[in-house]
Amino acid sequence: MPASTRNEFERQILPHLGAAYGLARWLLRHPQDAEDAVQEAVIKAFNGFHGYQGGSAQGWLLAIVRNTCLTAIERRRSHGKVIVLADSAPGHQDRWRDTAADPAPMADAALITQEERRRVHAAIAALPTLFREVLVMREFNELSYREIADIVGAPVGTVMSRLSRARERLAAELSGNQAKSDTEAKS
Amino acid sequence: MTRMDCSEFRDLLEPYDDGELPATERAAIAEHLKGCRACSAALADLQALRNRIRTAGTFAMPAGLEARIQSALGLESRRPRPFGWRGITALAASHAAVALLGGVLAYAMLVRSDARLTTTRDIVAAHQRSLIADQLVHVASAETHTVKPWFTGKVPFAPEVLDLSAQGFPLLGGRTDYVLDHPAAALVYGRRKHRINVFILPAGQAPATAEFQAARNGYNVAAWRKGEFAYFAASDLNASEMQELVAALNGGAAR
Repeated sequence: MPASTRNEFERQILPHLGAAYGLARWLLRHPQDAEDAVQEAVIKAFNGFHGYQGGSAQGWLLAIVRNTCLTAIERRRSHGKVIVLADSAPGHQDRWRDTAADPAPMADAALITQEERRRVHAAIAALPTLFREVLVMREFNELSYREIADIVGAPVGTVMSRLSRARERLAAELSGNQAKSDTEAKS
Repeated sequence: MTRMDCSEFRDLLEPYDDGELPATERAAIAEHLKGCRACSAALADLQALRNRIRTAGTFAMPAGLEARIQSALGLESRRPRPFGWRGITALAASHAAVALLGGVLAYAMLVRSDARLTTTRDIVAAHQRSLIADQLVHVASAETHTVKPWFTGKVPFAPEVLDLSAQGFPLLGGRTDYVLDHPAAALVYGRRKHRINVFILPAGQAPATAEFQAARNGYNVAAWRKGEFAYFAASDLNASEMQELVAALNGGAAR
């Protein structure tokens, strides 16, 4: 493999590692599994880089990450392995990235209680995989319907309806929690 | 605005808020929102939900992951490639001509069986994935002239779509999928209660595994080439019926 190919790969693909990890972390719901999947996906991407024909480098990488994660989920399922969600595992400290594009004055990071974050994250984690992935790509990666459709290999209309159902479920799950967490935030 | 307009607008609030609508529709909705309290409230709910999600935030990459990936890439890029010029010259420097030939052949066989295994694994995973509810077909039709044009613009090639109902494999529909790290057209055929996924992608994008049959986790996989395309079929159908399907697909108008 010529050095220039590796440089080109690093220049185009590696800037999207953060997005890749975020997606893998949400799909697999486990930090160590997510790291392994990202590493495996990046190696796959590297070996298949000659097949990359331009277009969105992030979309190309995320599609491979998704494929790797779904295969890992299948493998888990066929091994009957029970995953203790790290979200609920004690002692695990994830690092958070605040994605609020324009945080309102009251939504200052210091005022986000752990409780509110845990609640929202648990609600997202509880969504079925196919709903969760479109929500994550839309809200955290800010991808367009078209970009998401290309990654998941589904028509735009399907992406729209999955996203809508994901939001509907989240809203139902989180309704009634808002007032409580506001009180906690101010106390 | 009349109340009748609301349901129509309500469905568009999400794409509106996601910035997915063309300017004319955006303007129409903005206009409607001015006079409609119910729709404005629905939009406010959507925005509040989005704000909660984004404020909760996503997961940041753990420190050190990028460095670990960099070093894995370093190892990967030094790994000898099958038939790579550098690999061959390195071998040539240390081996006599006969040993070289033997070594290359053995290595090629090793690489090929490895590729076969990963291919089988990937195809079976894609097949299993498709069986999850509402994933199997994106276009449900037994009509080849419905399924074939459906792929236009969704995959960068035109797969051949054959109706095999006369051979006992009714076409159930099609789907786009992602296998072997490439977009692929997936045709779904049925036999009794079994579902068969046939993945089609340009031959150049599939590993050079040529033709093989394999079994994994109770699924049978067949790989073959036809014209400029690589075909992979996966199903829990028995091996001899799989062969029947392969023969039927190969019997179509060859290009």
